[in-house]
Amino acid sequence: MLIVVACVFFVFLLQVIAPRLLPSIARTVAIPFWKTESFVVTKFDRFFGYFRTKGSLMSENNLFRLELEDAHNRLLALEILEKENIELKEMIGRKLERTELSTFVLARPPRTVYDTFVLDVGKNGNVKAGDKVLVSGTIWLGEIRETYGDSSLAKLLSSPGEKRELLVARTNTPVTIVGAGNGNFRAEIPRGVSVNIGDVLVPPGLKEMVVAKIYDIELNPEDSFQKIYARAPINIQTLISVDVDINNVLKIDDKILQATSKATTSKNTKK
Amino acid sequence: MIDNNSLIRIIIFVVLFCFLNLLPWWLVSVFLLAVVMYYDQYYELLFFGVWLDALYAVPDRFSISGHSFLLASAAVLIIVFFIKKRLLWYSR
Repeated sequence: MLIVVACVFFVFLLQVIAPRLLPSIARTVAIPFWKTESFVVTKFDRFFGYFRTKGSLMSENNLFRLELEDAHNRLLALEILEKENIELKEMIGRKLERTELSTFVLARPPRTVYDTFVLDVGKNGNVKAGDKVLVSGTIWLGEIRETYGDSSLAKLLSSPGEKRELLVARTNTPVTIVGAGNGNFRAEIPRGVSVNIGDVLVPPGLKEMVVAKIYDIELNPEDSFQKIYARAPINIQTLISVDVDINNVLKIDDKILQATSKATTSKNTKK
Repeated sequence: MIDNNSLIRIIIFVVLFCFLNLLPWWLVSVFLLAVVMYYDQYYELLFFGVWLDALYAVPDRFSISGHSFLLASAAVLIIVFFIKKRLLWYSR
């Protein structure tokens, strides 16, 4: 029993003296494991592909072709809107010059316990703490918290207990979301505030970025608040690569949040 | 020379260590619990706890939030120590 207590005490002491020592050692040992695993998984994936029937491949191919066509059509409109959005932001003095670095995800939930991602780019790739982790340039997943030589640790926005101020994109209603782990979020807002299933939650001042999509709303007649359940629009357990915004130009505008919050409060009071 | 039991214990440690780096934490926890129940005073569990915390938690100098696995493994070791004393079928 004493050994257990002594060990715990020693680790805590080490944490205070040299907080990055153990993580650095652990990462140096674990990275070869993760890289080997990704290599083997890729090879096996290809190997099992040989056993699939031509019929199933053809039907899957047709499905993908239709989806691609649909995505292309949507993209045409999106590109115009994106350009217009950038131009409008430049007019009000906000220039967005992103430098996104594509990184490979070495470890992701459910393997990682604390809802964190281990990425294969670190200080050597100019990644620094506070940089945003994005998917497809539009989905904001998390932030870099620690950087090592050739790897970095990103904490997801959905990490349990993580709080963040967001807006419901459709109504500009401010919402404080709390991470519930594995890409899930929870929030409580007053009953009268209008939210719908499918509404998108965005950071204030960065409406081109999506954090989560509402998938359930719980309304209890005895409760003056409604509970919102949202989740990230992608499956974080199957992500292979993510982008890191190394210029960190995507800053959240607190003034916009405060202004929106005031506007919504006055609107509700008038009602 | 290393006796057979120690050798098996070392092999189990190596296998569990590989699992720890490659499999989801909850799956490894099941294996670890089985090993803790089988072996008398399996202190290696503390090492595994420290390892998971070091790999995946955000290091924070004065916070215990990043030590969930170390604390959980210490608690498991202590609980199992008392449980084993009360188990009739446990003859070690």
